[in-house]
Amino acid sequence: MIARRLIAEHRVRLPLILLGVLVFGFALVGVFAAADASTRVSSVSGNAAIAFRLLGLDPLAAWVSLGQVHPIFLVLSALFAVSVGVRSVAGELEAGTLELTLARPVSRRRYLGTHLALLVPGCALIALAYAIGALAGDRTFDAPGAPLQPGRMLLAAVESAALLLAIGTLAVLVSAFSSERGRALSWVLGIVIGMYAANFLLVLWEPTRDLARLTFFWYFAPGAAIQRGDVDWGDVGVLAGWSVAASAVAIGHFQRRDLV
Amino acid sequence: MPPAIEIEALHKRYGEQVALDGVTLQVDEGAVYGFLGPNGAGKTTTMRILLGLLRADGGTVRVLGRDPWGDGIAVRGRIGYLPGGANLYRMRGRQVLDYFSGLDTAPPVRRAELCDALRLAATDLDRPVRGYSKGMRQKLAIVQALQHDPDLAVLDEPTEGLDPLVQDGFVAMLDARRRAGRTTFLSSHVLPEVEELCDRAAIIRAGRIVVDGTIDELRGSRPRQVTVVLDGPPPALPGCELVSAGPRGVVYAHRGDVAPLLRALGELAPRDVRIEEPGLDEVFRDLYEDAP
Repeated sequence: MIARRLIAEHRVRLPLILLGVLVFGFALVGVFAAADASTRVSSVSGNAAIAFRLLGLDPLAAWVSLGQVHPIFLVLSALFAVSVGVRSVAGELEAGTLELTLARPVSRRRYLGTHLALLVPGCALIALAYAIGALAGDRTFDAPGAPLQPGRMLLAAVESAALLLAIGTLAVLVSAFSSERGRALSWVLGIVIGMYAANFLLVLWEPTRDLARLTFFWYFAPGAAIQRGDVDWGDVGVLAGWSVAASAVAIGHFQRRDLV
Repeated sequence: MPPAIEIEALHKRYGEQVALDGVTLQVDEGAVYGFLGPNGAGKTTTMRILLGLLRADGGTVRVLGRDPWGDGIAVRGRIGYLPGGANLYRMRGRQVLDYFSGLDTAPPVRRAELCDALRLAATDLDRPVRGYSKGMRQKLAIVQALQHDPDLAVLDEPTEGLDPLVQDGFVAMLDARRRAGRTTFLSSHVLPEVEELCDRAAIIRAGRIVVDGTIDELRGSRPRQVTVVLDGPPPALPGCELVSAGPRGVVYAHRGDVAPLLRALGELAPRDVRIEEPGLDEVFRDLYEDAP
């Protein structure tokens, strides 16, 4: 029943997010194809195509890789994971609905476990939507470079799903310790945006470079998967390990805490 | 038969703030028990502990013979809960009832009967809850709490927002529960309603039970008001303490047996006499006026 209610709650939001991510992937390839075909060097995408060639990278694959670390993609795709996570405890507690559900013969482990279980297919679908959008764009537009390979896009989607799941479980963890939706949301956004910025800034200076390993984004490198079909499974494992550990801590704390 | 609720020396703190300070009470199976107190006295905290939503810091709690924190699933399978100012999911009314029913272990055998008693029509149940008035939401929340005919109902301010006709339906419903041997533990600010509904009541103040007894015992803890209209100075009457004397009569506070008083009044031949039983609201007010 809890899963059915959660699915019903997201029956509009999730398809909209999927559509948004799919259109983003599709449009990204379209923009690249249009710029390369007409203006060549007069746009960001045109300049990027030249730069990619100079670096020995396949232009389209490199462009689509950039799309996966683009803030628009990350914000759009993380929307579902963050909203499910933040609402799971803090949101429902603040709304007053949690005590009604947990006044039933429902264990707290089952309640939170259902939310965590919903994150997995949700994040996977969103990650796949980008791959499908980009592949559809490649079939539709005449983009420069070798065509995108579905197998490689799928590997990149696995990496994206692992990142989204890590963000979602962070949101569940923060929510399990909080009683206010707004406060939980602020913490999650602060941590994720902080990690995103830190991942760029810390690597600029050698002494701080290793600190970037403390961010999720250090372990997220979809470019190698899209361009060469290489996946660092260790990195995926770190993100998955975080998700498992965060889920365990969230459930453990939620089982002991007062619902106030 | 074990009590439905047994609470002994219950303590609960929120940081530095003491919410419950040694609460002890017992609710017998099949009783309707009123739990009274002003806002912040500890009523909701006690109810949440009964449901295992909060963990007690000290003392013991047994609900239907079990520990609600350690054995919560078994306990909650036999409880129906109505929180104060219940917030419901944004679904249609019927979906809300189906959702909670799906989480219960027992089927919603009383749903139709409750909807009738509370005047909740089928067309209302087909509407989204976000369009409900406060009273409608309260009715739906009552139905979700009682639709599976729980052995114990824990109801926080159940009549809040209900119109008088629906309140009558609610009273009849609780009466039917009592006759069926089901236990009800309810908090309320509507004292006449507690007097009408409850077999016993406790008053909690600042986390402590200040009075616990049958409704008659609670009334008996306060004096009757005796007003005598007669000519001449106020006489001394057995068991009476003079409260005031004015043009509308002499007012006394009376405790104890009324027979000697009636005999004395008969000899005085007053022009008028009124003897009024104390209401629960007077007991309640007195206790709170005495509060530190």
